[in-house]
Amino acid sequence: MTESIVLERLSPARGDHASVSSLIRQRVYILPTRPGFLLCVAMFTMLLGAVNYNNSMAYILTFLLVSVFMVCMLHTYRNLAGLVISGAKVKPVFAGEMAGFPVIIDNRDGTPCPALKLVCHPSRKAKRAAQQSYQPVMVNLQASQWQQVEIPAPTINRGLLPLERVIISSCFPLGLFRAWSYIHLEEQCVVYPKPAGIDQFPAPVAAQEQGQEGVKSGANDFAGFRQYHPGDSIRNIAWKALAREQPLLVKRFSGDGSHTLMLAWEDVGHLPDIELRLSQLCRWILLAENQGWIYGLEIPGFQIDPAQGTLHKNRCLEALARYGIHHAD
Amino acid sequence: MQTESARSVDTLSLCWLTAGITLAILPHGLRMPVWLLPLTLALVLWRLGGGLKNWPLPDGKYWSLRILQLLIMIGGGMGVYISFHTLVGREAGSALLVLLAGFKILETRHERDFYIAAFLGFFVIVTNFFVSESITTAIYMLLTLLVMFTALITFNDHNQSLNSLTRIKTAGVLLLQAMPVMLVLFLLFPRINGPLWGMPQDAHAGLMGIDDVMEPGSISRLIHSNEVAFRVEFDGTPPENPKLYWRGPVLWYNDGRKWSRERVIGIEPAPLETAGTPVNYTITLEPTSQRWLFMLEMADKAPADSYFVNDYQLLAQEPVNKRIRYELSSYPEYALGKSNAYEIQRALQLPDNFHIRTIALAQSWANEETDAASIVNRALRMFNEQNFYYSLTPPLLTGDNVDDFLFDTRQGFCEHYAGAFVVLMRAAGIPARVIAGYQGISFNPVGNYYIVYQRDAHAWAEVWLDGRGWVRIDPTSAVAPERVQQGIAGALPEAIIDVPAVFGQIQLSRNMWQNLRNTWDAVNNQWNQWVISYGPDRQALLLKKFGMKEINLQLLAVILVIIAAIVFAVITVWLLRQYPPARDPARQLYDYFCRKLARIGIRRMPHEGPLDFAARVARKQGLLADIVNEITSLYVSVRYGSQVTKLAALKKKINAFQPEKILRIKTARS
Repeated sequence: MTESIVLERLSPARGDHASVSSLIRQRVYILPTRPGFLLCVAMFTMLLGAVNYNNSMAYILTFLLVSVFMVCMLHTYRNLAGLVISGAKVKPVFAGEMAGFPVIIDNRDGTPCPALKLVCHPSRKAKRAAQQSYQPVMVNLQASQWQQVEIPAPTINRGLLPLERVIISSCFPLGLFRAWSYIHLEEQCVVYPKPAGIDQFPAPVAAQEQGQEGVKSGANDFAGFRQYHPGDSIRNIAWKALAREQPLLVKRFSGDGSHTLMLAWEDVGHLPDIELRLSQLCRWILLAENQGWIYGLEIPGFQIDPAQGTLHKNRCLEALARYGIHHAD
Repeated sequence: MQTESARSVDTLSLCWLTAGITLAILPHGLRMPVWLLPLTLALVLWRLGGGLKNWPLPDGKYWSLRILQLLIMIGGGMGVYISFHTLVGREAGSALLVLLAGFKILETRHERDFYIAAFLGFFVIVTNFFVSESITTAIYMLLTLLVMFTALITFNDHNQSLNSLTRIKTAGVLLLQAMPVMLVLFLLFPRINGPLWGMPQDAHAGLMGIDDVMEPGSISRLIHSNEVAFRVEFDGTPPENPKLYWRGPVLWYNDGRKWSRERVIGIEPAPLETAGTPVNYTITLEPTSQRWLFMLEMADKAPADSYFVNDYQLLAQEPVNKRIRYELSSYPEYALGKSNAYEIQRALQLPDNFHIRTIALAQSWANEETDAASIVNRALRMFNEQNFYYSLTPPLLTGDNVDDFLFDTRQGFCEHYAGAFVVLMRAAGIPARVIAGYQGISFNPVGNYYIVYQRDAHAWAEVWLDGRGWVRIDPTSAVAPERVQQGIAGALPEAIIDVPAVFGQIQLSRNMWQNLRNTWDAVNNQWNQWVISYGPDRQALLLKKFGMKEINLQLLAVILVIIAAIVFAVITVWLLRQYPPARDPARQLYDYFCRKLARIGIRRMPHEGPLDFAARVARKQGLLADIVNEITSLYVSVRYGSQVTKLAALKKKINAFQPEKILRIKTARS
């Protein structure tokens, strides 16, 4: 969590939020909705009727609606004002998957904030590029409660996907007004390349003599199941488990533990496109991790010694994601 | 403004909405053609069935149902036209609105329909007020509004995260918070007189009261009415009951069956001579849709916008369609001066071929008696001495109603006696006319004013005597003196005065009932004065109290905006006030725990974490080590772990923690 945003109230805060570090104040905007404007027309008609008939109760009802309209504006505004919003660590995804940006919304007021709507509001360009629509997320906050939600955003290319500005809005209680605010959270999602290419590994490191057999012996000893990940070899899928209506599982095998791979830029040099190369490397990394290889990665600007494990795999994949991207953080 | 994607309407919101609209429609149902309410409710039910039981609804899927819906729509519109002979006006307009609300509910699918249906509901509520503005209607409609707002809240609480009670409460809170601004707008919104574009013909239908046509039964039908005719505030004490004749229309013309007003009215009032001290009073007259104003006999000056005509009726310039207030001063001692010959001629009119026996009787009196006064006395003596009865339920008169009454049935109400008496007088050559109005008053001790009910309706006669002018003669008093002495309550069987049977004969409960009624009427009176009748006059009165003499619409508008803005600003500040951030309950408990420890001299340093502090306490006061460690570890696990499960345990422990006591006991033991 890097920073928190507090949605501003009308009155300047008296340091109540001092406990939250690095607070950014953000304005809340409010306008009548379409039904709100429609009600204005209806109220004007009622007023004309009241004046014409000089009917006191019609006056009272009209004025009551007018003032409910005004009070409703305050309530809608209050739904957002005072919320404290912060981000959290974003889980990396493969290109083409939905990225989920976690956002923590903290309602410190004694009143509930139902039906808060959060939606990613990207630039026009990003919107056009992503052919899927940005799905809104609804959050209901009880009094003095916080919740973490994930704002989905489609990914297309590998790299770093920043969280575009998010609109948080509320029409509660009557739907006559819509209050909204823009949240800029400095979050970015690491988007791994989409695994693609062939399953055939390049030649293992020469130093390892039994290398040639290693590929095979990788499929030697059954070591249990684990969840399917994109890029896993189809051969290793536990079809029998799937037939038992269990989730998609893959069989894990452990070889002797001594076969080592060094995945290098040269191995994918024959592919025409950088992205295709990265996708191939990605596939190999997943496969290697899956099959219990000890593998390293060597691409321009990044090199990692052969190792094993989820952490290692993630470092390799992140290196692929960040390849060729200059970034500040 | 960003358009929300079309959201379909969930069933729960739909139920609330239909409940609200049904509530708004129901009072209309009693006044509308019989088919309208069942039809509208059927439409509403159809939609509800679609939502709850998946009944087929008229939409894209079922073309035949859409055609059916269209046919019902056309049929409904035609039905309204046939029932009212028009599609505009108050009644027909309301009927159409009710129908429209039903159809809108039926086709409610999406967000937009939902809001339109809700706003139509608001219009239906308003149209109810054109018929009734009573307190009960106001409360009923406020409840309806609460349901409507709950519907809107339910719809906007997308995932129904709030329970019904909270939603109703939110609606109530909105309404309550809206009251102050509403009040300011109501009091200060510049009021103008008169309609903007004219009222429909039927704007003032169905009022009950004294009519300008009198026939047997026209007054006795009012006797069961506990409706208020008008209220009176006297300066000082009112005259005694026998003097309380409230003059209304003067009826000259007899067509053999009924009495009615003369079409030609002289505008020069008859000369009035007054004596004694006047009675000053203010009347608040309920709407009658007639032009005459009631006054205590006999007032000398007409109030604003009204005038006297020659037979001393007080007429307003416009029909009284709203409750009005006027001030009068009346002289119980008066002589309504000499009339001109034309009037006397008119006061001798009798229909041809009617009342043969009565005329014969009167002519025999005229031959026997010498002067008019003795003929009058003879008639009154007849009523008093022969077996005439004062009855609320006289037998139906089928033939000549005066002859039959005088010679056969001999049971009648004031209109029988007044009518027969005037016929007798005219036949005997004495000019006479019928006066319709009210007689008597009821005191309301709660509001300190007097009420004249519809049941106080009365009819009496005026005869023209040489040298005395028009003299009031009340033939009813000859039959039932208590009617005039004690008012209608004295003359009626008790069941008529609406004390419910449950109160029986116990005086205390009867008094309580009377008291309740008085209070209710006093509240109603205030409501009438300050809410329903609040208009340009009342507004001017109110502004005068605050020192505004000249009412200038622009200035008023500016004041309205300023005051409304101030009130709204106060509400804004109050609503958006910054709540101190809700402190973590665990932290609050821990602070309390630390305060307890501070009492025995161990203070937690600001930089000290809970665990460090616990260690220091243990070092300083070894006796407390166990309990302090226990509480601290519980606190740590609550604060940084799961809140819900262990918070109660922590609270219990910290509340029970008494360091002094532990120290005392343990020291004593060791």
